[in-house]
Amino acid sequence: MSYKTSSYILKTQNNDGELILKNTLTQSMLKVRTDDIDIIEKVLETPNAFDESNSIFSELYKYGFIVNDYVDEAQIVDFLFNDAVYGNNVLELTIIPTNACNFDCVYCYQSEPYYYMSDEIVNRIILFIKKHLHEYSGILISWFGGEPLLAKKIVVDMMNKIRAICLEEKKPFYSNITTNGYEMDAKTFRELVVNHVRYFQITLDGPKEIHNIQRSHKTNSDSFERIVNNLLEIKNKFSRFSYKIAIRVNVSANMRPYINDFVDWLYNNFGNDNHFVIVWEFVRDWGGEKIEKNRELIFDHKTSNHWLDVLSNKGFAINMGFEQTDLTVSLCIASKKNGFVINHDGQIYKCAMVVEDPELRFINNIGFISSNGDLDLDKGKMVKWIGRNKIDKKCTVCHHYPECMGISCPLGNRILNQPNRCSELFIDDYEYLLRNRDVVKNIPYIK
Amino acid sequence: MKQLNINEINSIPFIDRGRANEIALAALNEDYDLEPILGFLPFFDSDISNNIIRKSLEQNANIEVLLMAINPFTDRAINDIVTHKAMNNAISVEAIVGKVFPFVSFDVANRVAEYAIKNKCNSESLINAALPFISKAMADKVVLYAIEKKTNPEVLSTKVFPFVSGHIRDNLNKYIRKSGYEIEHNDSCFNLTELNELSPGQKLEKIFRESGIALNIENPNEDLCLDSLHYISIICEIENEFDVEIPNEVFSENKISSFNDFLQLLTSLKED
Repeated sequence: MSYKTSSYILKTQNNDGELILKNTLTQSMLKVRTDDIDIIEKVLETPNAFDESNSIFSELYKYGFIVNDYVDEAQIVDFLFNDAVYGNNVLELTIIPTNACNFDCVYCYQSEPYYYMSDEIVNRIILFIKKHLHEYSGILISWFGGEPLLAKKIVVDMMNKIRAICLEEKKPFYSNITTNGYEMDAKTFRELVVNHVRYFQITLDGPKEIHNIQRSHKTNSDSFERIVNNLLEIKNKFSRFSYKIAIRVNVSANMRPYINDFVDWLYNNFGNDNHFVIVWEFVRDWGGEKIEKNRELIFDHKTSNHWLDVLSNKGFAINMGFEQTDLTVSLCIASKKNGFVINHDGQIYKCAMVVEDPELRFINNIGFISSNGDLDLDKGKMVKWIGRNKIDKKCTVCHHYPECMGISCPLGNRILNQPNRCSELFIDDYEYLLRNRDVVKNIPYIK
Repeated sequence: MKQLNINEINSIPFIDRGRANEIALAALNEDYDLEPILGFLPFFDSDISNNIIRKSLEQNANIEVLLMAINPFTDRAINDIVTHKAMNNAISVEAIVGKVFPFVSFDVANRVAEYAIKNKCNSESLINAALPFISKAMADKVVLYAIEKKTNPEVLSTKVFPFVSGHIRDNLNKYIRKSGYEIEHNDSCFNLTELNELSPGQKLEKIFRESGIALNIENPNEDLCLDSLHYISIICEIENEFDVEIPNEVFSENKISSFNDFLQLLTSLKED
């Protein structure tokens, strides 16, 4: 039997000089003591000089760092991708109950007039789920807006009904919500978690001084305080539930004078509770016109990398998406055959981010939900979103290919035919992320 | 074939039976397409209704319309023929089951039940429609099929006991108890009450069943091979039911995979 080294290995060293290995296909992580680094490197360089009687070889083989010579790992990624897109039978719905918002963020693309989902559309969605759930293996619902909790009665009532249908049909279900957190009081939170809404994404644009300017409430000049009070109340009252609240912090250069205190404040309030995860997003130049006008907001690479290490040493988990039990979870629903966005007016879209973009509305709007509870879809438009374009050779040999699967965004890849935009966190910052995992998770040593 | 006057047909329910029979006989004798009057058979004398069905069969009338037309007043032998034809033409099994049982012969009723099981008919529909009209042996088969399909225990407890044999009743009792219900027997009826205080194991079983997981009760250590959606969905329900939090590391490190693992975890969390 002959062997080869996996193409998908990331390596870095921690502060103690130990080697950290990650296989992006199997998502396995191992740590190597300094004394063992040479032998590990040797086994990885010349796997055929060893065999399974060698304990290091067999450990590396077990976790996918060494594979049989006949294995084409890129083919495995392609199989996983196709299985997720065409073979996966989970119904993935993003529901937009309203496009209304109580915030007036400086960077927001949504605008008035505002609409709320009518009872008629709510009933159609419930009828659709009741009528068609047996065709699917389960259901995953994402709530999006506008600000979805301005329509909290709609959200809670629908989740109550969906839970009842799923229990009756014996189907698993799960839900998440992207909210600004302003309306998420303890009562609303409880109603959501008992109905399987267990992942919440809330954005704080830094400390009060910056947040209240960049994400100002339309009438309350201190939205920061209300959001934080909501979060603290949830933290104190709901220890008996598994849930995750991802606090997304958009870190711009404006935050530089406050960042030290803000990190301490975050850690003191939420760092000691694993229900909370801080997702750090450094404002960087991803191209486009807007950033040209706002170059002063960009955090340069060197500074952001310094802060990544500071955060790690504080014990914050930096990026949830970096490690996944299921590689296909991060694939955008727009690229999947069973992924649909239902807008407040019953129109069905593929991409929730550009529902209101007049130039993309035609291709994005793939159908509507009919009064008899069926999805009336334009298959000609739908197939334009599903799958991915031909993969660039440089993608399949990239160490990160299993994690992005060659398609970061179906809108760019399939519709606009743009080159893939690689995530900097994967490509440039993975060493920080590996070290971060070592701090927060204690990666096991190779035996 | 000549076409009947639609206005005249639609008037049939509102005219006297003699006049209705005259219209039907004229249609029969003058080679009209009979399909439009199949829905009005109860308004004609039964020999005329029988002849209309016979002739419609010769005319190759739509079999679904024929199936809906058979009734208590048409000849059982004719109803049997229509039912056979419906099964041979792969008409929706639920439509056949919902329609034919009171009107067909004992032999055909048994065949329909067999056909329904083979074609994975909705078990509640089959139980509701078939049991009084089929043999005890066939009723046993239907009930075993319903248990296999995890039919609502409330339906099973109220509908099936008088029609099945002793050993099937035992199976049924076991299934209903495992589903978290208790049965009270008395001379005339079977009352089903949901247990207020189920044991943690029974509650857990109920959660798994409602999430669509088939448990092998004989082997509670069997790896359930739960996908991530089932996993999180079951954990949500466990937390709702037992007021405990499943610690993060338990599910991020795949520490629990069997029914017994869940039960032990639950016991330890409750003790805490």
